Amino acid sequence: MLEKNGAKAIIISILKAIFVLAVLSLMYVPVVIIVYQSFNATANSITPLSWGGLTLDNYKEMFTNRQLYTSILDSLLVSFCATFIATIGGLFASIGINALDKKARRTMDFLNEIPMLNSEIVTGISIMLIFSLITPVFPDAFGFPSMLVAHVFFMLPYVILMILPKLEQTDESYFEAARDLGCSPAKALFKIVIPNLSTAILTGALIAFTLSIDDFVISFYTQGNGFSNFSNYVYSSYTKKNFSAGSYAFNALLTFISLAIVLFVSLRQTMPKKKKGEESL
Amino acid sequence: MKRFKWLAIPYFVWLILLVALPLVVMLVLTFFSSNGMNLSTAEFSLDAYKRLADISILKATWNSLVVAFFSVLICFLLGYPVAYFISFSKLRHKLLVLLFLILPMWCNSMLRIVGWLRLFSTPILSQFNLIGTNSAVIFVTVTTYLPFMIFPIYTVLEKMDRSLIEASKDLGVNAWKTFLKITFPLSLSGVSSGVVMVFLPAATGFAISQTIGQGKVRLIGNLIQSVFEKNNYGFGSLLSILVSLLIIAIVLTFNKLQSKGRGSKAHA
Repeated sequence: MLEKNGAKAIIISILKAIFVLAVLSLMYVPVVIIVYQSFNATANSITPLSWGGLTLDNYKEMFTNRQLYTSILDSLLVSFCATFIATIGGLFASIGINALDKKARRTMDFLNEIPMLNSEIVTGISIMLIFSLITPVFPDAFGFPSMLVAHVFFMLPYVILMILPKLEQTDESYFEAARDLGCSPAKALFKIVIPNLSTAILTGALIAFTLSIDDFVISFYTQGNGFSNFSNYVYSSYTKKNFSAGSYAFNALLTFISLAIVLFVSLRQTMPKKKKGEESL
Repeated sequence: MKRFKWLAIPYFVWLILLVALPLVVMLVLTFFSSNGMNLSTAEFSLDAYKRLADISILKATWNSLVVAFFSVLICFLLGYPVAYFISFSKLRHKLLVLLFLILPMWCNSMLRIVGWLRLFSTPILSQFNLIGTNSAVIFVTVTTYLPFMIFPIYTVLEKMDRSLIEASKDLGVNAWKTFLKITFPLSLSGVSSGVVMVFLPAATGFAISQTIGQGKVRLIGNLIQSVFEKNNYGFGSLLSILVSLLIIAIVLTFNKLQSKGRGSKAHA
């Protein structure tokens, strides 16, 4: 009886593992295609996915195709700047929201959720309209400035939602203690409160960057004056049929780098734990 | 730390400028027929409202809801078990499994869509005529947004008090009933945020329907995009406002239903 149960449990856990792996592999199919295409000499042929031999030319494309590398650089520029601004801005906005009394707090919580509940397309159009209003005065408003504002706009709620709960848990008496010991309010804030939030700030920044570098819809409406991002380059070049296989190479490279980071982190995690296990034995 | 109240003011102004002001601009635009934002040629007209009677709008809205509904349903059916199995497994490195779930998201989503399109048009798969169908659009939507369903559910399951489940089992309730009566109701908050996070982009996006649908699958996002492309800002604004209202109505109803369900369970 016991043995039968054991066999059943093993079969069930194998089935569970197969299910998880099947779903995971569903998400990896496009990743595999991208990596495959990045080494494929005929990545852009009319017969899709036909193997034309191993090549590294696609990787060279990244540096020779002007349209491609400007879109990559534009993407990185916007995402880094926007993440920086949104993280700092979100941090101070959170400190402000945290200090509000109940009624004002509820209004801010509601307002903060609007950009998240609004569809991307409406957010993009909203910001495009605002920038269209100011183009008569600032003709260069579209491009980097509009895209930066748009990205900061959709990142801020995520950053705030990461920092605010942590801030609520922060014991105010530390701040009071610093004040009693002669710190100015600003110094107490920077020396005591903010360092305590570092994990939340970092997580918020990471989420913001991930969303920003992948954004398509909002950037679609706020691009302009020759400034675009990678997603929009892929979209427009694919529809105009001048798509560069270097795009695959760029993304395959990103995948390799993140895979290396994941493996590094996991190795560092597993090593000390193994030792602990031996000790307990 | 009450003295830092004023730090909320810049963010408040920012939100008013970028949320409320565009709404006013859109509302004004719906009453004019203009070429883009060129206000010198703008004339008062109710054309935008008249065009609402067009049957294609209703069709696109309905189609968006259908695509979003099935995407959410499939994401839930695939995502919940994955989150559950990982969370309840005896694996030592759950975090590693999660990292492998995030990894595909570091690949550009637009390029992943192109990857699927290339795969669907290979000689073998092209026999099935997947390109241009609702099912292909739903399939690609699911693979793109699945992590948004898995993560919130996983987070809630991890934070859950496991002793409740043990208590239920100790009292002789079988595993299925324990799941349905204890685990699942307690994970509903994760499910609802997952549902919203998949529903929003699935219902209003236009990249997947444009690329995989090849113009044959028309969602409300495609409609808005093509209207703005033709510089008809009045009609486009009206559609945008309606989409926002529809989305907010759906999300609020969903949240209400969910909290109601939880409330009745707490009473029972």
